[in-house]
Formats: sequence, structure tokens, C-alpha cells
Amino acid sequence: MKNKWLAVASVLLILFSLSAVAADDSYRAMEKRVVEKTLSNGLKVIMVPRHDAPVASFVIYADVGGVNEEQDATGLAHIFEHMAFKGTDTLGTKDYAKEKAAMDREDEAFLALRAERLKLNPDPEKLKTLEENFKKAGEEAQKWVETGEYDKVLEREGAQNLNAFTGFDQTVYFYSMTSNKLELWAALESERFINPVLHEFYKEKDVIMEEKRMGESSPMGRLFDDFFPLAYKAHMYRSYIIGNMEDLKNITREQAMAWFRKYYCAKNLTAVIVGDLDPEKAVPVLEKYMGRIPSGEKPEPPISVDPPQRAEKRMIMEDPSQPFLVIGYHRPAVTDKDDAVYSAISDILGGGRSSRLYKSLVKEKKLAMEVQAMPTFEGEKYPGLFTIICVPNKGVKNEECEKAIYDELKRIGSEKVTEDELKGVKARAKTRFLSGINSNLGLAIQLAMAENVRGGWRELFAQLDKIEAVSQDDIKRVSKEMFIRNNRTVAMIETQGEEE
Amino acid sequence: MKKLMIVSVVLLSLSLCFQGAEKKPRPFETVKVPPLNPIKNPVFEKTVLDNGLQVYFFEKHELPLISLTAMIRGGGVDESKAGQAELFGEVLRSGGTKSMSGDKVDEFLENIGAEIETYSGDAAVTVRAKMLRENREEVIPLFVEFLVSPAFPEEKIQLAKTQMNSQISRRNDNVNGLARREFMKLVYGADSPYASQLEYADVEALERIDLLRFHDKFFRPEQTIIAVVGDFDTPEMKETFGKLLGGWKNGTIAPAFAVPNIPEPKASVSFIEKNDVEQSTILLGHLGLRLDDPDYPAVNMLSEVLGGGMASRIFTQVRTLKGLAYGAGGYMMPAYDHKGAFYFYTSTKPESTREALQTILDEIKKVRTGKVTDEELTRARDGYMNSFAFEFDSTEKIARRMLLYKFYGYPEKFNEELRGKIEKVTADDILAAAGKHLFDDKLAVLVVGKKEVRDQLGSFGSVGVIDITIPDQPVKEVLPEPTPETMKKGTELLKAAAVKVGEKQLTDLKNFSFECTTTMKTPMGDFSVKQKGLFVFPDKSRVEIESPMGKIEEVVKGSEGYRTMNGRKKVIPESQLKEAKRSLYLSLAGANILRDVISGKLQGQYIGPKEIDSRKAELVVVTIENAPVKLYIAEGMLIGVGTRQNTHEGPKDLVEVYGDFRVVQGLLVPFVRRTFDGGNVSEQTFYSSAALNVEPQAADKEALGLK
Repeated sequence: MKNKWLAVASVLLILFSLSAVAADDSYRAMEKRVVEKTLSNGLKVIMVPRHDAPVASFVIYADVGGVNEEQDATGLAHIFEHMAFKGTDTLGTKDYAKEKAAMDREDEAFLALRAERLKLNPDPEKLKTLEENFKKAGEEAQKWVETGEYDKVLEREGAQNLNAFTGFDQTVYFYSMTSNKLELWAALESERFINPVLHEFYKEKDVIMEEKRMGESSPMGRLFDDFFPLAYKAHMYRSYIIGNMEDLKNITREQAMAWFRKYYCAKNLTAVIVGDLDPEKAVPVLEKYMGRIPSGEKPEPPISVDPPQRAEKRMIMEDPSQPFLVIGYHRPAVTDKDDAVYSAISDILGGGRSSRLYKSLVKEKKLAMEVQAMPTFEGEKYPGLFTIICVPNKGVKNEECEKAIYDELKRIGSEKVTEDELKGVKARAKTRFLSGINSNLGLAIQLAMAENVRGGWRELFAQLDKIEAVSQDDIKRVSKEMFIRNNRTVAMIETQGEEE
Repeated sequence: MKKLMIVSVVLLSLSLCFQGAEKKPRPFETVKVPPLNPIKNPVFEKTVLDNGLQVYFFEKHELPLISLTAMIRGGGVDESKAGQAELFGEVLRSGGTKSMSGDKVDEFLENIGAEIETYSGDAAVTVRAKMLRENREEVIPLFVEFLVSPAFPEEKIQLAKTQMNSQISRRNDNVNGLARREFMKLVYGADSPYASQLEYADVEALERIDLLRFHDKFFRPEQTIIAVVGDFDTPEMKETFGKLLGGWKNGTIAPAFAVPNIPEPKASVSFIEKNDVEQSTILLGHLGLRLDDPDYPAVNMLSEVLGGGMASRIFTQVRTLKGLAYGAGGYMMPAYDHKGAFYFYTSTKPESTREALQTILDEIKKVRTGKVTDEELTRARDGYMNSFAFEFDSTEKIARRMLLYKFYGYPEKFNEELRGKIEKVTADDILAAAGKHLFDDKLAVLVVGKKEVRDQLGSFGSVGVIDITIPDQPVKEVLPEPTPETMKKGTELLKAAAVKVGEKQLTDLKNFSFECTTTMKTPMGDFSVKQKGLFVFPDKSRVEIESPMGKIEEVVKGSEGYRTMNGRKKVIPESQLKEAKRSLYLSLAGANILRDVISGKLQGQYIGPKEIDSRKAELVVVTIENAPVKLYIAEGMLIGVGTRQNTHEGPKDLVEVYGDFRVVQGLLVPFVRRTFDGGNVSEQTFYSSAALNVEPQAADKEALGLK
């Protein structure tokens, strides 16, 4: 038995390489269980059977996010995500024909109001009338809405973790149900992506504006809202996902439908199911329902890329809250050959209690409460940001923390990390990976991400091999390249009234 | 080796039926849902060591991981000093063990991708570990050391205290955290451990000995339960735990555990001004139920219909229909060992604060007066039943639940019993439960928002404004190093002051009986109380206070004390008792201090001239219970005593200044006492009578245990 062997082995190195083998076994076995199938319409389905409990997690991943947006219509990806919970022409309506007519009148009234609002000198009297018309038209449409029906159906079916999120790179819809409801899921989910109706569109925009206000009520929300446009010059990672307030106000139902038609075709969607299912029996069911989603054409990816940064960028936000510091360095996309090196660097710098930044800033110099390094921050399909976040201790200035951080960045770019440090990275990557795939939903979302962001679901499992191959030299080389002044964006909160 | 047992619970798959049968069925309505595959409940084993330690073993072999969780009874509720449990939970891990320093532990664990973490909650300290299977022989012994022999080095205590201070400084930055914290105070009472809020002064007062005491008192095998989950063989693991923890011994004194008192709910409307937000955060609610309350099943369905999820009444009204908020809802969050809380929440733009709050209130009122519809009840109940399989979807979850059930003394299959009860809940039960447990006239309403929002709240009741200013960190005054000269001079000044008021009288002083009126300045105006009492030197007192709420009797006897009001006797909490003892010690113009100087127990350090109350005085400092006490001597008399005190506004340096000295039975006794907070007088006391060495009254004798 392998384990007997292990107990005898005394040399740490041997022990380590063996432990790697043991962990490999289980995730390799997991990889072999993954079943991949492309439906007739081009929709990719990924399934992992796991029979521990009669439950399953279901994910629909749309390969579209904030990055696909354009000026004047920011926030559209997220708006559609919200609208996908509103139902179809048979779900969420009392009488679709009547509702449709009322919605058309509501849209007309909105367009008239919008046109007046966008004039150089809007007429306040006219605005008032138009607003009233719009409100009335909305009330008419509301009469035909069966409010929250989609949610009600799923709640009654016992759906768990029913939610969705919009990122720079993706829009993801997910929930878990008992595994006997696979067909029900396929039926409900396909309908909302074949024939969505954007019931209560304008009210939902109000909700989204509240969501934006909620973000802006937090000091960090305010800071990040400005951090991304500062860090990126051309690429749409510059536009924070929630969108600009004026865009939110002016986006029309037709714009949201156009978004749907362009980006929610079968070729741009991935379905992932992890749990108590038999893939062979599942495929015909999925073909029957999901196969009806129009095939479409995979939309072109965004074209703009950020040119190399020429100068350090720096932003200081005076705010009533306590100091806070973010430092971002441009790095290539996660498909880059050095991706694992960036992960290793972030782990050595800020991955735990023994990481370099934690040791220096938190334990030894007592400058910070918390310090973290992330290989990517938000967007990662396209060139993104290696990011360090630091929360200074009471009475400590951002600059003191910043300096201590740079000392460590300089060190990692000029001296090799120790063998032990690198071993730690590899060991942690393994346990982290294993813990991450422990839950059905976690595994399902990660597979969908790998498929769309990294170029294939197998990349999820390949990441460990790539980390395993990282050398001390790689870490030094990439750190030296990345951690240069002209490549960084620094944003901080200074407490109001404490600086002159 | 993995055996699985099939649980008798089989879920009914429900065929869908919808209202509006005239419509043609929609595709999803024609789907036939096959019966659910059986739920598998893992077999687990249990061992109880001779010392009372319980260990549960849950095997799961899919991934080569093992996790350990230990729950040790004793937490924030049981602490004897504010922040003791929190600091303990932090330094337990960061400080490492007697055989391996915290920093070494960090490196050791992280180099093998393992974790050990500790934290303290209200009722328990939790120690968790996670490791790859092949590291179990190194990590488990270390995990055990964290239970048995933690180190608590001073350096890590200081580091943790620095971080706790940083946390305090940031506690108002995040509006949600701020609102939740203040809301808990409104529901459970500001002094409740379930709503505790640390101040800088609390952190400053925490010492290493507090952590050692906590460990000594609570870390006992008979109060500890451990769950082991993952890729291991039970017999081997049983042996390991027997070997490693069989010799762990209980301390000599078994700790007593009590659930703190929680005040009855009372209606209130509170406002907190925060101008850097774009929304008002609204929270309302009141005390709720324990999880094992017989009415909990009905209340659970009630709260589901009212505020649980995207189809609930509150969500539908506030978000879906009115577009007022992103999040809106509410629950009755039960607790295992004390009453949980109903809470309802939303956040909305400033101008719609009133509308959003009113909408939630209307829904609360409505659910109390009318039955929920069949459709609502069916949806809530089916949702519960249909998601029940998720109670068993991971071995970790099952083990965690088992641990909690064991810890709080719930039956092993409590969740299955609960499910049975929920299945039977009717709309009438819900209405009855709403009438009995949910009160629209006892809600604590809290709104955090921009200044102008306050005006929208008037219609909900009289609005109390909560000041969230963080009390300043106490500034440590650096005193000059004492020299033989300054010690001699200081002590001499104090001796002379004792002679001046009457040395013999001080020495012979047995007790002091008095009547007085004290006037306190508050933001709402002046506030006076009459007091009458007896001080028995050195450390006993009984005082009757006539307060607007009725008569209060306060008794302090050495290290214990209680208050009686309206016939209800309550123990004085340790922090307040400390204040009471201090004021007792300083009473009668520092008589105790002067007595200790005469007897040679106490020496003073001369600091220099210092003005107090516009009078020239000499400052002498004595140390009492590790804290400096400032004594001001003017014209040979001790006229002022300065100490650092914990006030409701946080720690402050206050000085009591005495005046109108009169001769009472040969002793000079002050008939006026004023308390200075900086340059302002915050409190004044005028004595109407004073007598020394009186015969105690029967009530005094009984309360103070005098002969």
C-alpha cells in the first residue's frame, strides 16, 4: 500500500513528491469522470456524475460580460442577467398578447421621455407630462404581469443557491435541485433562453440603480469604481460591471433584447451539471430542450487592448472612512504560458500567514491588519491586473504600507525564492484545488470558467501540473518584469481632514 | 470500508399543478419528475474517552482530505472581561503551542498545504484543521496541542490587540456592519454579550492572564466534542485520539454556564446619521425563538412567506413591484440556546426611505391579521420539503450539524423531526404563531442614512438618535520615573494631608453614613437623584438611590455586588462592579488612601505643581490596582482625586474635587463633591448629612453581613 510506504519515507523531498502522486490520483480520477457533449445546435454540455447525495448543481454560462459593452450602454450585461429571471411569454404573464401591447406602449412612452431628457435644454413641463405618460403606461403593463412567477416555481421546487452573477468576462446562472429534476431544469432553463420576455423592465432598472447605490455606499465600492478606469486606458475592463448611472437610466428594453439575441445563442453558452446524474441518460433530455436554443454565431471578441502603460498612475480618494490601499500591475491573460507563475507569485507574497507580505506588514512591522495578493482581479480572460490590497492598522499611513510592500516586490524580483517557499506553493495549490472541487456547485462553476476563460475545461485540472512546473527562476523573472513603477496603478483612501 | 445507510426519509416528488387551468400547459409543466434516489446518510462512529471527551468519526473517501473540528464550551457569553473570548480565539492560533511557536506553525502547515484555525463564538471556541491524508500523523498531534498546551506569548497578544484596535477604528466604515451591530444592541440590549461591542479601553485592559484563565477554566475534555471527517480509517483514528487525548485532564473546578438574560422587546425608532452613503439602510425586528421552540415550525413558515427569498411578500412588494431596493426580506433567525431574532431589512435611496419602511411594516401587520394563502403555504412548505435532500449533500455538512446538535443537546435527528412538524403546519397555525410571536408594536426600527432622512421617520414614533462616535483611544500618560526624593516628598505630602483632616479619626474610622443629592449633566438636561447610604471601611457599602424609575438598592461586598429594583435582584456585572469598588475606595475624600498612607501600605510619588479647579495644588501619584491615581493637595489638604474611568462614552480621565469641608466628629469631611471632565463639571453632589461610626441599621447588617 502506498500509505505504508509513505510512513517509512523520511526524506522530505521524497515524501513530498509522493504526496503529489496521492493527490493526483483523486483529481485525475475526477477528470476521467467528466463527460463532454456538444448538442446539435452547438451548445456545449459538461457533466460530472457524483452520486453521494440525490442532488445536482446546474450552471448556464454565457460567454459575455461587462467586457462586451460599449459606451452609452454600460451595465447592459448585468441588466440582462436580472431580466433573465422575469420569465417568458408563458411564464410571468397573465395574458401575453395584452401585456405585449401594453409593453410596446410603455416602450414608446419611455422613448419619448428619453428623447426629451437627452435634449440640450429639456423642457421641464414636457418632461413632467412625459414622465406621467410613462408612469401610466407602466401601470397598464403591470396589470398583465404575473409577478415573480419564475422565482415562485423554483422556490417551490426547492431550488437552492438560486442566483446569477455578471463579471467582466461572463454571465453565469446557477442553482441546485434534487437530481430527479434534471428534465424540469432543462425545460425551465431552455425556455428562458429561447424566449425571454423582459417583464417589468423599467422597474428592474430601478432595482439595479439601487444595487449601484448600494455599492457606492461602501468606501471600497467607491474606490474600485474609479480604480478600474484609471488602470485601463482602452480595454473595457475599465468599465465597472454595474454601469454608469446615466446609461442605466437610458437603456431601453430593445437594447436589452438585442443584447440577448447577439450573445445568448447556443454557440455562446455552456451548460454544466455536477451531481447525481447519468450522463448517457441526460444527453437526450438536454438535446430535447437545450437543443432548441437557436444556434447563432459566436460573437466576435472585443478588439481594444491596453497598450503598455507608460507611467505610474496614482489616485487618492479623500473619504470619511479609514485608509485603504490597492496596487495593480498589468499582466497577461490567464491563457499566457506564465499564468501559473503569476499564481505562484501571488501565493508567496500574500497567500497565508507565512506569506512574505503578511509576515512583513502584519506580523513584523505591524503596519497592516490585512494584506492580500491576487493573481488577477476581476477580469482574467484578457490581460488583467495582478493586485495587492492592504488594510493599514490604526494610525498607520498608506505610504508606510506602500513602502513595505515595494520592499517585498523588489526582493522577489531580485532574489530567488527559497525551495521551501516554492514547495509550499505547490502543496497549497493542491489542497486548495481539492477543497474547491468538493462541492457540486463549486466544481460546476469552475469547469464552466475553465472552458470559457482558459480555453477548455481540462485546463482546470491542468493548472496543478502547471504550478508543479514553476521554477524559482520563473518567479524571479516574471516578478522582475511585472513589478516596475511604470506598470502600476495605485489607488488609496485617505481619511478626510487628516491630510492638508 | 464505506458503509452507507439508507435513510427512511424519502421525498415525495410533487407533480406540478398551477392555477389557471384554462391555459395550455407550458413545457415545464408537462415534465414528469421521477422519484428521488434515496438519501444516503453516512454511518458514523463515536467514541467517548475516560476523561469525557467525545469524538465522532465520519469517513468519506472521494478526496484525500481530512478535516477536524473541535467545539469547546465557553465563549463570549462566558467571558469575565469584555473582549476576553475574542482575544483568546485569535491568540490561541497565532501564539502557537508550547512546543511550536505560532510563526513556526504557520510555516509548517502552509508548506504542506494544511490549515489549523481557531475562533471564539458566543458559546464555544472552535478549533479546526484541514490536511491531506498523508499529513495526518504530523498535523493531528499539533491540532491536539492547540487544545491542551497553547502558549499565548505576549508578543502575539500585543499584535492581536493592535488589530482589534484597528478593527474598532474601522467599525463605522461599512454601513451594513454598523447597522447590524447597532440593531443587535437594540434587540438584545446594549450590554448583552449577543450584541457586544468592544472599545479601545476594553482592549487596553486585556492581559495575558485573562487568556490563561480562560483556557484553564473552559478547555476541559468533558466539555469538548470533536468531529473527524474524510479519508481515514476509523479504528486507526480512534487509536490516535485515544493516545493523544486520553491523558487530557479536566481542571479542578467545573465552570458554570448560564444563558444571559435578555430584555423583553420594546418598540423604538432609532436613527444613525451617516452622510457618505447613497442609500438608507433599514433594519427592524425584535426578539424571536429558540430553534427547539414548539412554535418554531409555524414561525419558520411564517417567516418564509413574509420575507424568505425572491417570491416572499416583502421582496415582491419592496423590490419587484415598487423597485425600491436591490435587497429586501427578513427572517426569524433561531438560535440553539437562546432566543433568536426576527429581522427585516432593506436599503433604498434616501428619498424613498419612508415608503420602503412603511411597506415592510404594512406586510408585518398584514400577516398578523390575515391567513396566508394556500398557494403561499404550499410554496413555502414544498420548497422546504423539496430541498430537504440538501441537508445531506455533504459529509462535512452532516458532521457539522451533528456536532452542533450534540453541543447544544439536541436530538440526533432533530432536522428530521422538524421536517415532520413543518409538513403539518397549517395557515391557521401560521396566523396563531404570528399573533403570538410577531409584534408590529414592539419592533425596534433602525435607519442609517443621510442627515435629511431623519425627518422621514417622525411618523413611526419618537426618533432616538444614536451617536456612533468611537470613543477615543485612551492616551497613556507617561509619568516621570520615581526617584527616592520624589517618593519621599510625595508620601510626606500625603501624610501631612492625613494629619490635617484628622489622623486618629481616619485610623479609627469604621463606617460613614450619609445622605446626599447628586446632579448629573446629560445631553437631555440635568438629572438629579437622592442617595442615602452607609460605607463600611474598607470595602463594603449599601446605598439606596431614589431614581425616577423607582428605588434602587446597591450593595457592594468586597468582590461581589448586586442591585435590587422593584423587588428584582440582579448581580452587578464585573465591569460595573469594578467602578463601584473604585468609587467606594475613593469615598469620603480619599479616606481609604489616606488610611493606607498612614499604615505605610501606600506611598506617593511627587510629580510637581498642578492647577485644579483654578486652585494651585501639588500633584502626587499613587498606584492602585496597577493604575495611577492622581491626588491633588492644596493648602495641605487632599482636595482632588483623578482617575481613569469607564463611562458610557468610553474611558475618560475624571477628577473629583472636594469642597465645603466641615468638622464631623473631629474629622474634616467634604460636603460638596464635583466631578470634572476636562474643564467641565459633569456631576455634583451635595451632602445633607454625614455621620461617622454609626450603629448600622438592620437592613445594612443583613445586606452587608455585619455582626
